[in-house]
Amino acid sequence: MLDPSREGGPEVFGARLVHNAPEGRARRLLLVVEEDIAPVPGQFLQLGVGGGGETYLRRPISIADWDGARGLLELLVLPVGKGTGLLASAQPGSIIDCLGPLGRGFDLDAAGPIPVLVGGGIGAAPLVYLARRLAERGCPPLTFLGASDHPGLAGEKSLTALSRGVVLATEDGSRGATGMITEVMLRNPGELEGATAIMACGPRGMLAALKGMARERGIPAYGSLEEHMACGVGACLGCAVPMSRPESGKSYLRVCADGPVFPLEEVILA
Amino acid sequence: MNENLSIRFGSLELSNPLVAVSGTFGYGFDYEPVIPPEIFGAIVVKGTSLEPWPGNPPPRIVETPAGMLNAIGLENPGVEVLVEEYLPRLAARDVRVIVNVVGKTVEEYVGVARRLQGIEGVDALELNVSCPNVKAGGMSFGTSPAAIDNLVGAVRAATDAPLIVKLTPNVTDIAEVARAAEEAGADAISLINTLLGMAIDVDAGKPVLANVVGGLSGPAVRPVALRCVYQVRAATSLPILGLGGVASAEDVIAFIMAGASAVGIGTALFADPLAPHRILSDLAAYRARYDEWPVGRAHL
Ligand SMILES: Cc1cc2nc3c(=O)[nH]c(=O)nc-3n(C[C@H](O)[C@H](O)[C@H](O)COP(=O)(O)OP(=O)(O)OC[C@H]3O[C@@H](n4cnc5c(N)ncnc54)[C@H](O)[C@@H]3O)c2cc1C
Ligand SMILES: Cc1cc2nc3c(=O)[nH]c(=O)nc-3n(C[C@H](O)[C@H](O)[C@H](O)COP(=O)(O)O)c2cc1C
Ligand code: FES
Repeated sequence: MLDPSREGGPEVFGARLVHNAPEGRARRLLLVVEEDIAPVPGQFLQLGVGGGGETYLRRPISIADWDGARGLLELLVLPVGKGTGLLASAQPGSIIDCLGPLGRGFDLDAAGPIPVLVGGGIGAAPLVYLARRLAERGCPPLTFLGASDHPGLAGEKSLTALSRGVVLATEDGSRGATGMITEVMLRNPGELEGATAIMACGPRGMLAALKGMARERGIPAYGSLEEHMACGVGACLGCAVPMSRPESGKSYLRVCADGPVFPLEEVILA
Repeated sequence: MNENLSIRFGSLELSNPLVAVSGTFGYGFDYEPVIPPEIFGAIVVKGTSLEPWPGNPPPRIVETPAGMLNAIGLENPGVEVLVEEYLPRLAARDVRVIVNVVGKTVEEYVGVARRLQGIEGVDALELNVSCPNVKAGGMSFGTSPAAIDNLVGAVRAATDAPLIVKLTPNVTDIAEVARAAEEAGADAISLINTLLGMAIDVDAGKPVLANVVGGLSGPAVRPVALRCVYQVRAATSLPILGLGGVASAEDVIAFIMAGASAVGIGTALFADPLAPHRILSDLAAYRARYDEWPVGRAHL
């Protein structure tokens, strides 16, 4: 795995929102960042969302894309509750309170020449920056994106531009193949021929299916997990995920600091 | 840091009154470089048991109005790892370290205290008496003066380190429990630990936390914590580490006026990692108003 974070660790910084537009049911937020945060794909931010006592804790949101030269940060936010609702309705010009970059991201060296990326719904967010960095290394990924319906697909445009090929699936058939993305992958095993690693973000059920597929093919699979968080830095032990092989009295890993990206063989996804 | 913010907490001279509380600041390093441990007057490390404890299954936390519930289950690697791994790293830093001690039996608490006896860099022990006492049917040590007397007496005999007893607010009469701790030989009292609460997921029709119940912390508990500090100050002459929902310098002063001579911050770090920096700079302005820290002033 990668070193936990970049040299210097996380920072608290204000990012100025310059653009907020719909992307299906989600919102695409562009922010200007003065600091050189140099994130690793798969890392996330803990965002203060305002809202006072009703949204006291920060919200973990993936770094969807990063343009270091221009200091431009992209987030994809699906409004599912109070905090993401506040973020999704933030007006350009407002300053977003950020802590990060946090966590261990995807290990680019483990991707190999033909990485396969799999995104479920808003889980596509961290894959955009991952695809960009893989493409820069001359290994553009083959990308599978799934969602319940067309408006649930996120990151399609950017990922299409950054990947060697994109396969889409929706459960209701409103875009791409019909069915869950992992079912579509299983129906077309030829697509995975030669794949060197699977890197994914999405619901746990999707990650569990991918773990099985990768095991059969003998390739590594990495997945970004979600868990409710308080600190986001490893201090509170609130974001536990059970380890596949507990060792010397230790049974859980911290999603925020040991992850959010894990080799799927190391964690129990049930 | 700021020399003029120093304060005496029992036998310890602290560089300032602000203390990072147990379970919210790991072993001091997780928040670096945003919060270096040195900025605190002291840090209290995670609850430490004799053997490793795995902790509870997830979900372990849930946000609530102006705070959160946690049921971490005191996950920790055990005292041996603390001594071998974390204490040496902390000893290399200029920070006072208080070890929060947990156990399921009196013997386990005593075992941790013995192992820490004489170890460099341990400035005090803080007994977390909110743990369920397995030999007494799982009732928390902290809810009965007799159990406190027994536990504190046994640990007192096992250590020379200053002994802080951390009280739970989930009792009828906190002053009575504090007096029991004082009589059994405690050097200081810290309070409050979390308030027992729960949350229900109405869509799923079940409790949110896997452990069903959890401890409430954050600004939501501040008035309860302040009241407890006030009552304990009136009932004992022990120095008090006051905590619960502290988020500003004004809160720190309120706890000091209620009777605390050190003030903890925990959950507010999660919401605002810059809170300690802001509190310390704001505290300097408050400090200038008084000849000495106004400990217990609200009682006059
Ligand atoms: C590492 C990581 C990266 C993420 N990246 C993104 C992203 O790029 N875009 C995006 O739209 N969402 C992302 N999420 C999910 C996002 O954090 C939650 O949807 C959000 O916290 C919900 O907050 P709320 O106030 O809108 O919902 P509420 O249901 O009102 O939230 C109540 C509480 O539960 C927590 N919570 C609820 N759902 C989740 C969840 N799925 N994960 C973690 N905590 C949750 C909230 O943080 C809050 O403390 C990510 C989660 C994690 C852990
Ligand atoms: C995530 C979490 C973990 C905690 N772990 C411990 C612990 O190990 N030992 C202990 O005595 N108190 C523990 N506490 C309680 C705090 O030390 C403190 O008493 C309580 O949170 C109230 O302070 P606050 O409102 O400033 O957070 C924990 C609290 C939280 C939120
Ligand atoms: S959220 Fe605190 S340890 Fe992960």
